[in-house]
Amino acid sequence: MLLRVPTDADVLASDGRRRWLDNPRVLITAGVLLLAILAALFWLANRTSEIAPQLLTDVLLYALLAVDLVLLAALAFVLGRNLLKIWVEQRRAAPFARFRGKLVAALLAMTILPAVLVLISGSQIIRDSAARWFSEPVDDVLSAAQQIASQYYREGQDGVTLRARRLGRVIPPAAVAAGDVAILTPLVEEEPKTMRDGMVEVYRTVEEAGLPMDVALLIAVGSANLPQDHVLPSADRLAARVAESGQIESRQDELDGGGVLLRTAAPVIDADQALVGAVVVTQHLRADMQARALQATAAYESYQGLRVLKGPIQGIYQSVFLAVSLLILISATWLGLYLAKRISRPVQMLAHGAEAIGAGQLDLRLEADTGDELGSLVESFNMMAAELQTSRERLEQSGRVLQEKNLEVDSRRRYIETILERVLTGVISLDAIGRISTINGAGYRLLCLSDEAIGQPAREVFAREDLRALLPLVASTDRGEPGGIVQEITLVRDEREVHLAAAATVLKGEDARPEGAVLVLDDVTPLIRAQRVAAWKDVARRLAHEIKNPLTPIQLSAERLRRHFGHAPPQTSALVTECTDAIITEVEALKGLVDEFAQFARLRGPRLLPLDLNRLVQGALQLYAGVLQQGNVRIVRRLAPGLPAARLDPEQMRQVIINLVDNAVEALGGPGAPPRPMGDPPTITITTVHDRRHGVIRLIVSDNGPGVPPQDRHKLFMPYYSTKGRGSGLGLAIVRRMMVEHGGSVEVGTSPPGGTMLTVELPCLPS
Amino acid sequence: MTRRALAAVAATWLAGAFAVVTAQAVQIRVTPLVAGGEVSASFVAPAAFTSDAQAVLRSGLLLTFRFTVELRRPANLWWDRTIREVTAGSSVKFDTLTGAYHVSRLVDGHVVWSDRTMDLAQVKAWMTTFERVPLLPATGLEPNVDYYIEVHLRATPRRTFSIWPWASDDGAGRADFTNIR
Repeated sequence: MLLRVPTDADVLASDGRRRWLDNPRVLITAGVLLLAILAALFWLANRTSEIAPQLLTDVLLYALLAVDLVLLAALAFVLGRNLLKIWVEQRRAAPFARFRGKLVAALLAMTILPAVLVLISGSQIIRDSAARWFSEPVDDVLSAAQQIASQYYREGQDGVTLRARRLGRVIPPAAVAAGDVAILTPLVEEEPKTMRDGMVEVYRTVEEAGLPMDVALLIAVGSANLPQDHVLPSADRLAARVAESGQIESRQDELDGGGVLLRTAAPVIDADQALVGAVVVTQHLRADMQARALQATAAYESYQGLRVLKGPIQGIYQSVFLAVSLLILISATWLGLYLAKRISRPVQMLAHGAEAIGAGQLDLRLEADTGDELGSLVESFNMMAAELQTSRERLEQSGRVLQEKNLEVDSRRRYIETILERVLTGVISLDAIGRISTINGAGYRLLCLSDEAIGQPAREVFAREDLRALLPLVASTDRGEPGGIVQEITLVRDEREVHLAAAATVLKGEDARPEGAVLVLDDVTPLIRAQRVAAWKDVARRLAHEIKNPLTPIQLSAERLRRHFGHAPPQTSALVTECTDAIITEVEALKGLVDEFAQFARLRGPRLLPLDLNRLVQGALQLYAGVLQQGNVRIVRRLAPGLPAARLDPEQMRQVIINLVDNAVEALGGPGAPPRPMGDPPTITITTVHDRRHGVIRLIVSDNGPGVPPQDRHKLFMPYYSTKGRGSGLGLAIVRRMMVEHGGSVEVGTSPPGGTMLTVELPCLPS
Repeated sequence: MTRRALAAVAATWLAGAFAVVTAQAVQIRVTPLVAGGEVSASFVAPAAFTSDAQAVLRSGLLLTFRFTVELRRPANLWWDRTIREVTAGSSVKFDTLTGAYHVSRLVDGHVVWSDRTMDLAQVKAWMTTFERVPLLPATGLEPNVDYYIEVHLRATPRRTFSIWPWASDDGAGRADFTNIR
């Protein structure tokens, strides 16, 4: 990503305009244009006196005022817009807005204050200069010169008028009316001689019916040095006007070659007050004199014109000056704002870029549009951003690898923890100072520990009465004995023995320093039991083989003796019969005993099927319905509903249930057993339980009989052990063997208030 | 010094504006005339020759009075409608050398008359009095309708100026009439 403009979306939108403004050609053109406008204004100010007053006061002045107003509005717009932008940026807390504001304020102060001072002082200078233009001495000199020239003209005109008036009275009207030139000539021929350059013309009126009064020239006498073009129709027209009006008429006729003719016409009136003619007297003013008079008059009029229009002219100068000042002010202001922007823009870009990078946008790159130190700074910033981006990519890659490793390790840890939790082997870890760090589920169960043991010293935890057998193991780990220690220990749990194979292993680090220890506890009770069953099975097989073989010859021999001595004397015969019967009976008993041992030895393996234990119990108990109905023994069923299925051999389980119930009936004293000493009826309670935590189901057969002494309980499952003094004593031994082959166990305990409780525990299928 | 100069500049500008705003407008007497099948207006502005105008005249500058004559019909709910507008003017140039006044009169930009005199009173009369300035044929007016003629005077060159370019006129007059037929 390439960042060109640092501030906001508005500035981004004006990117094209900014590039246009950044174009040097445009800036140079604008500068040249500004200079041209300034030059034009100065030229206009210098040509003010040459401009027609009407144009000056009615057009130019207001045009300049309009220009001033436009420039003032432009200045206000430029200033207001930029100041508003700066204010908004500061309100938004844009990066470097305060810095830019200070920069703009400084630059504006550097441009506006001098410009305003120049404007004020310049206006004052214009006012002072205008006051000096129209000073009183100048006014007096020009007025005097104009009065001299005017007086010269006026005196000439007055002289001509006097002469014409006099001649009008002197000339005889009759001669004029008669057109008698001879009379008139002497009267007027001397007149031009008394004039410097003069001329006298006499006209008589000509009156025709229906036509206006006209005049006809009678005589014209002039000076010799009068210009040749002095005879002009204007004299005739002047005489005609007098003939028409009867009044004295004057006029000036300018000559083409310079000079002017001052003319006055006077009427010639007869005694009847009738106008009979006119006398025109002409005085020639020389060209040089006329030029000087006109020059003085022109200077006077020019001066007076300026003085009269002093206000508007001063206004024009001030307007021009104001326009120039405003142009300079606008240019300086714009230039100041432009420079402030040029200076602050890279800094704003950097700030914006740093902010973006701080937000994680490491692909940001700034465009360096200057080659100065700020440009180098932008390049360095880009390099830093690139380095940061590379580093972050590496970090992200490492993070991903690390995360994968962590997941793998975590998965492995969970796998190991699951294994440790599921295995039947108890595992206890100790730290370097002998405190218990972890205990798995089997460890808790085997040692009957709680979570409170975690963090406690192993010596204190194992100081408990039933766990003291473990202390030597802990002591061996304290000594750091290499190779580990293995020993078999026996604990009593719920009044039964639990045989554990315990092993302690010291954990050592890379520097061979002990970092803790691991205690591994294997419950070998089923193994030991299986070994015992196997031993008894072997014994039974040997007994069956060694005892049963001689029994048949013994029985046959006894029968032979009884037959042989059947004919003997009665006393002898009776004795033999009694003895042989005893032998035969005992042999039969021995055969039965041997058969039972043989059966124990030949017990087949279970054929496991997923079955409902409750249904097997119900089916087995139906056998006792008729037997116990007539007796006093009561059977109570407490079968757990929804018991999960277990993999069971139905025949063997049926035999197990029957053996346990038979055993209980026998313990109560047979089907007709009397009530218990406390008056309670002899009761057998059959309970099924689902232990979800350990994933097992239990069949508990308990009675309220006299119970089994604790010291004899471990013998209860041995073959040929019976508390009844009869039978083979193989019932519970067979039950144990079957349960072992089912993967379960059978234990004996005490049933409150003192009876026997036999518990069969079997693994169940997942529900 | 700075404060004084600033005050001077401000005073200059304000004086210009104030001069125009507070200038006493010259009253023009207007007389409408509907006769001879023509609508015309006669008007006179005797006070048009102000001191400023006389100063301009004496300086030798060309003094021009420009009268704008508007025949308008009043409206109640809208701006008044201008039916005809005629510009009449007079100008005078004082020859400071000979003391003569050269007067010209213009109607709608055309010189219709000029003369020369030495009499200032005559000049004033010529400059400020206009007789029967034709506006339009009488048929252009609706019968029995109110109209008015408004005359505005603009004298140039001006000796004062305003920072507001569209300043008011130097004089004005109005006359209402009803075209009774």
